[in-house]
Amino acid sequence: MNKTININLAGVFFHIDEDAFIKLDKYLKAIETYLAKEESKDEILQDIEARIAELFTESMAHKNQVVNSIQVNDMIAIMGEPEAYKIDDEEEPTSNSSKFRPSRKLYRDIDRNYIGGVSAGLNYYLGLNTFLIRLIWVASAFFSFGATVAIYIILWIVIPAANTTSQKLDMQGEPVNLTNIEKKVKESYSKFADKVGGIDYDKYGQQTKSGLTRFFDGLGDVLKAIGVFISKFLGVILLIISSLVLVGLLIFLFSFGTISVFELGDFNKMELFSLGIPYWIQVILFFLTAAIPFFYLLILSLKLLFSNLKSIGKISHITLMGIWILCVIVITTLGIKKQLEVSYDGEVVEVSALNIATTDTLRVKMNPNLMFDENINQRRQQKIVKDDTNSSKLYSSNVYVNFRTSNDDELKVRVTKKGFGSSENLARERASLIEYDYKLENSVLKLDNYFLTTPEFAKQKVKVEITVYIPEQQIIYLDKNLMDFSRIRNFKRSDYNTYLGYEENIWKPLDSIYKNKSIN
Amino acid sequence: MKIENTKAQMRKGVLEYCILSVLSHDDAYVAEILETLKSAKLLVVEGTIYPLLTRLKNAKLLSYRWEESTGGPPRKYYGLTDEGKEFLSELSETWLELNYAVTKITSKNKTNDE
Repeated sequence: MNKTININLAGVFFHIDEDAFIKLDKYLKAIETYLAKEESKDEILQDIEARIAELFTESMAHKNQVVNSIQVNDMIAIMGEPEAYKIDDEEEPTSNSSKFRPSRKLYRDIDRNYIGGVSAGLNYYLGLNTFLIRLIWVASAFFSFGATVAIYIILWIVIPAANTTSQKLDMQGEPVNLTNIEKKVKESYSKFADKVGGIDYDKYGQQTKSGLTRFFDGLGDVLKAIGVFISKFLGVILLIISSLVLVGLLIFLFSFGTISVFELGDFNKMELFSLGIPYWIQVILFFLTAAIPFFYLLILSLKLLFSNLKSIGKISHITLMGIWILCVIVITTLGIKKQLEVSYDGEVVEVSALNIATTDTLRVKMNPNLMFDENINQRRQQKIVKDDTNSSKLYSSNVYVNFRTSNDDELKVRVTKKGFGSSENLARERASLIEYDYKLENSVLKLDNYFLTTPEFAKQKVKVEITVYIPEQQIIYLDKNLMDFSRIRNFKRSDYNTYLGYEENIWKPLDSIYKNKSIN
Repeated sequence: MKIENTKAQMRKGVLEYCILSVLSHDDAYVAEILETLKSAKLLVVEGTIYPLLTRLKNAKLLSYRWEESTGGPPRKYYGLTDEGKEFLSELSETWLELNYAVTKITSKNKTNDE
């Protein structure tokens, strides 16, 4: 009794004895090794399979006859030994490689496909359950909002379908996993050890040269196996990194892209990266610039892992490269344009004299507005607030206070509003949009610790500088809340909230002045 | 140097020329081409021809069409392209020159030997 196997040769169905099948399989595998360097290997194999099918059909007495070893032998006699298929004689394949059963290759299984046969192919390759693989695809697509579908499509494109019988056999070959890679390394190592060990007892009289050659041959095998292991390992890491980044980028594309299309949410935080174009275009630009290199990284990692992948085609390469270069150019140009827009500074200055008797003590303090912000003692705060008329304003505490002595015995306040722009005029125009206030009440100079302006200036170079010119004979009292807004030469923390007088070109606490005077 | 290799190389060089010649009369499918070549004892086993045909096809010297066959799988019918015809006529010339040269040299050697 003999077990039979069903096979499909070039679309024709055959029952074949198990031993005859093994012989046929070996034969086709051997031919494939001989044709390994041939450009249209698959096509040639298909032609050969078609001819074999024809020979089997001719030799069969009736339709349901089983193909046996004799028929396979007859076929080989007609077709010739595998060596006959080789056209060029540059190098004979070594006896090892013809016996060597090629390790499992990744193909798409188009006989068991739901969509592209990717999962069924991975099932053979990884030895994982097909249902589990499909479940992982569906679940990951669900959790990544469909982003992993892109990865599936890439795999669909680059993994070839298993068309010929030999490709189908390759697809089902030895699984590629750590144990098998380890086995390969061990096998080649023991071969190496045999060769090296052979020097000692095998052929004593042989020249050392041949021993050395064998040593390096063996060493080469081991290094090759280690190299394969390293490249696969690198491939796995690159595959994980690139696919995770791609999925992340796709999620970024879908979430930010759609939100900004419908103008939901507050995008003030993104203002910094704004290129002055609609957000959704900008999101797509950033996405493509980042995603295309990672797409290539993904392809590279797949190529490292699977030797039999198809190319995505010259046109796709050129298109992708073109798109990427275009995106980089657009982003750079817009970035430079944006930079030029803020390259000029412009300022608006207002000076006014205030009335105060020289006998009065001048108190100076910052005047916070709790309506807008509670961090009243901090500079460089920026946020969008609503003003009295309920319109949006940019609130900024980028205010700086300077103290100088007045040269004409008058208390004066100089307010400098600074703006930005692509020209000095524009910068000045923008500076004039800054609203800043201060007032003198009962000898107390109250300086607002903030200014308001239009929300478009968020994260831009807008600020207010105040210089207070104080008459020399005035006694002053600086409030502690000035500390963060002004830096005064030779001033200590204890000099705030203290009465100060002017002497020897600096403001000093009164008690130290009196002390000096009493000494004199 | 192995005698088998030299023999095979000689035969393979001529084989392309012969395949094109066979197809110059009429389109044919592989088994028909094989029959002609085998009857002339140029080819012993069939295997060699498949890679050759595909190469000639890739070089655009041959083209093929599918035709259904009774019982077996569909067959590829090969025919010469215009390029193939040109290629063949050039090969014919070269062959005649070679043939003349080889006959002349080998026959001279023979007479010298005698």
